[in-house]
Amino acid sequence: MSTMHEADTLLAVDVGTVNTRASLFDVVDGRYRMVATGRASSTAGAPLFDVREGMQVALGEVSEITGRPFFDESEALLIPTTGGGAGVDAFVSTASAGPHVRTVLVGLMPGVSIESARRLAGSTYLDVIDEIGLTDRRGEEAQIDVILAARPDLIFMVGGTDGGATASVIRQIETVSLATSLLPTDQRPALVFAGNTNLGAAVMERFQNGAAVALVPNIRPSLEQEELEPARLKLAEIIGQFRSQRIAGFEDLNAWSGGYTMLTADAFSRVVRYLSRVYDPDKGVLGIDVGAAHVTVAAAFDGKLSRKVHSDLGLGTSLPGLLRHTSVSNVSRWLPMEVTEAEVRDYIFNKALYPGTIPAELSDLHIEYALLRELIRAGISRSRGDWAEGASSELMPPMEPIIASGGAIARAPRPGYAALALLDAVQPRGITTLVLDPYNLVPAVGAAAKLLPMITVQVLESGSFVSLGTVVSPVGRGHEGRPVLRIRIDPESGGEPIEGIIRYGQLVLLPLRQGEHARMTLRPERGFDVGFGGPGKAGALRVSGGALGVIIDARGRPIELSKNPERRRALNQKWLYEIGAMLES
Amino acid sequence: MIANHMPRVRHILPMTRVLRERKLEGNAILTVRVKEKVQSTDVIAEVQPQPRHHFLDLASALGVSDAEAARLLRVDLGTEVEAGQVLAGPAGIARRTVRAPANGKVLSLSRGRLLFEAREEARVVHAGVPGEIVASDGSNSITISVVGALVQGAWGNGRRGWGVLRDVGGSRSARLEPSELDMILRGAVVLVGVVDNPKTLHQGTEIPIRGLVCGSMASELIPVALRMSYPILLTEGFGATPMNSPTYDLLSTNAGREASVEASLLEPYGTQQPEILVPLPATQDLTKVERIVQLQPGARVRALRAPHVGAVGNLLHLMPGVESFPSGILARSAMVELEGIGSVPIPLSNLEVIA
Repeated sequence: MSTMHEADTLLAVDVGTVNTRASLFDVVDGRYRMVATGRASSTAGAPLFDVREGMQVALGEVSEITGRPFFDESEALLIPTTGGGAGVDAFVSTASAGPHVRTVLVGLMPGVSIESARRLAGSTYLDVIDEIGLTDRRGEEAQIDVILAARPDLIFMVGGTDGGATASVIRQIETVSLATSLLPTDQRPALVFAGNTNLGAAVMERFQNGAAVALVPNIRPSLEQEELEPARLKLAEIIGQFRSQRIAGFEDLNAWSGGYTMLTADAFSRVVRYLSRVYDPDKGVLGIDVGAAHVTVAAAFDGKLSRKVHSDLGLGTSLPGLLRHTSVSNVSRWLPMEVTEAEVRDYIFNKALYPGTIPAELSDLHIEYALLRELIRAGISRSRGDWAEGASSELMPPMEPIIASGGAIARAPRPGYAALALLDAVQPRGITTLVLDPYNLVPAVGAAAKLLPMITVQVLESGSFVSLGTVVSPVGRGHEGRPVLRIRIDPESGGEPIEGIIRYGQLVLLPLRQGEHARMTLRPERGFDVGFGGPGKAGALRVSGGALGVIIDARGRPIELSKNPERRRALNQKWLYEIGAMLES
Repeated sequence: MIANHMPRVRHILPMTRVLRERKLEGNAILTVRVKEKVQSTDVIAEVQPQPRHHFLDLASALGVSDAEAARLLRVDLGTEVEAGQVLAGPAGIARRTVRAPANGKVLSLSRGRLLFEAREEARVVHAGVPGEIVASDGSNSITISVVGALVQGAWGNGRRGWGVLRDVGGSRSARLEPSELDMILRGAVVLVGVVDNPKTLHQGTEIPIRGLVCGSMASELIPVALRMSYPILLTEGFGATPMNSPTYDLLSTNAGREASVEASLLEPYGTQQPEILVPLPATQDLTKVERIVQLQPGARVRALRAPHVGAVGNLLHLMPGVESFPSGILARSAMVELEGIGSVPIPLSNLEVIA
């Protein structure tokens, strides 16, 4: 990252699997705002394998909008801004594009060190292809053959608390050392040891065959303690190096951003953690980024962050992976029209072949958003086990806000599409706010946060993010049509108050525009909880408006869809109309 | 006007020169040299598969100490040995010995344990195409230069094969039924529009055919297709989309000629694409394979998504601003004259250029 501390203009580039985005931020009226953004097809993959082409096109769009040139004649980025208004004061870059780092995990106990290693690997762009542990039933020679056959890019070794196990750790290290010594020199993997700190010298000694092993602090210094951050930084560095070796142009991005292109998931998660410290400490913050090749889910509770990068989920090349976690019929249940399972399945595999394509037909859009729902559901369900709160509950813990990012969400033709997909997929409870990141700015502000601490809140509060509105989701069960709660909204602008009774099964929008505030009073019926301390408890709070105003989702939690396909489709259609995703003809 | 968008490129070329690289995994012995002419069936390398490793506990087998076991070793480390050859011993009154469990190599000895690498039977690699060897790094890759017609596809089952190309259905949308695969097609590369029956794929193994090139296939057949020993290549993707007309026209014109099918599995950030190559006598008019082609008026394009998926046409002009589509999505678009359909706007993201 650039070492400017009083930067006015910030240029951010995010290289994704399908899109490369460039965003320019400037200080307007004393606050950071995004002033222009550009998008281009990513060129990290075939045929170019060079991120520069996509970046130049995206930056070209920003230049065209702002009239600001960014490069000198030698195509070097102008940092800081010149007197003539060219260049920028600071530059940050993030990337999720690039092949996965094929990783073998080596550890001791499945529930301890391996569990931590698995958690760490799952939080970044590693593809764990095998695990070797103390309870591994394969013999030592079979473990050697596994490593040789896997040709991993990285072997991540853990095990032993500090001052704990030594002999069994060393035995495993010797197996790894032997296996790597049998690989051709140019195919030897990166080696990281994050186990018993006391074994550092012994580990180094075992790898005197020319392989370089990186020693990082123990990820499990004790049975009760888990310390992932130092190892995470090292792995991020290795992932960066791995990408730079295979894809051209990352060196330029690294050089312009002070030597370091941040991983998109790290930057995204940093924002979620930061917001959890700023917002209501009684609620968590949830961030969901659905890309073509990954789904990132970050949840933070009062600064305690949990994140997962699901490399087998994504609305592009990784889409077929969804079928390992859900069924085609589970996707179809969100559709408002009849589509055969074969059609949905074909859609999934075709989207993986052509990940950059977009749905031009309405039926395609519905399928794409049904897939989006299931991707988010699968991502959350596979992440929740690590959350600081609500890990074992069927219902979502209270979240405020819920931030959604990613190409498909950004492309929603109407805010209602994105809102309904998020409500169906996340099924938030109580009161929350849905926020969309249509320009994929979260990674940019996350990467810039260390350099410009104020940028996160200032950009979030600017119009660059779309607040879909405040959502009220009463928890409870009832039959359709039964009153769930009475609501009253008193706009602060002094307009007419809005009052009404919400009935079970309804999805209701009440007008409150983005930037407007109101006092909202909720009186839930007995058996329904809106988060004021229990079922039937009433309360009032100040709420903000959004693109859809105030959304009351009285469909119950969890949402139970009708088993009758026709009725289910009719309800999906009805909800699309009710939330304004489709207009009555 | 040129679009600020880098489109996918699909090559459908009647006559070009292709460099086909054969990556050799494991230890390989090349059997050809640069500038040598090869036929499809010629063996170009013998590859030693990934060996298996065994620890042989000399100390306990011989009933001696670790140090003594080292002294009793009868072969030098790194030496190739034959199955049954004595590796260590004799030791003790019973004159115990340790013999090689297979042909292989003795790698190391540590604490009385010997690491043995068992050699597997070598596998031969065929050229797969007729052409000329133009490059080799001596161990891991060989590049063959071939002249002929080239068609790129969308998906492959990871197999490679060659045979005489046969147009079975007679149209680009013909559905292949199991009964149509008879003994006449033995050894052939079958060209057809659509496959949606797993029995058809199994019948291909029975005959056996040497390859199947189809427009599209039901995605539920993917697990079956991946198990087939012959190459299966889809030119469009999954479902029932007919083969695109330039591909069908070019391949059906070449029916009766030998074709090489490289049904490469698509891998993220991989360089291999599924391809069909019909070797032809070289002429002067070779079209160069362009990897990057601009999206501009006059470009030959193919629609990747509904409502005109698979249709081919000419790009008339790029549309200013963004266009709204029935889905409600706004997108930068081009007006395209599609064959048999007429002029329609299509999002740039949903187009690929045919080069």
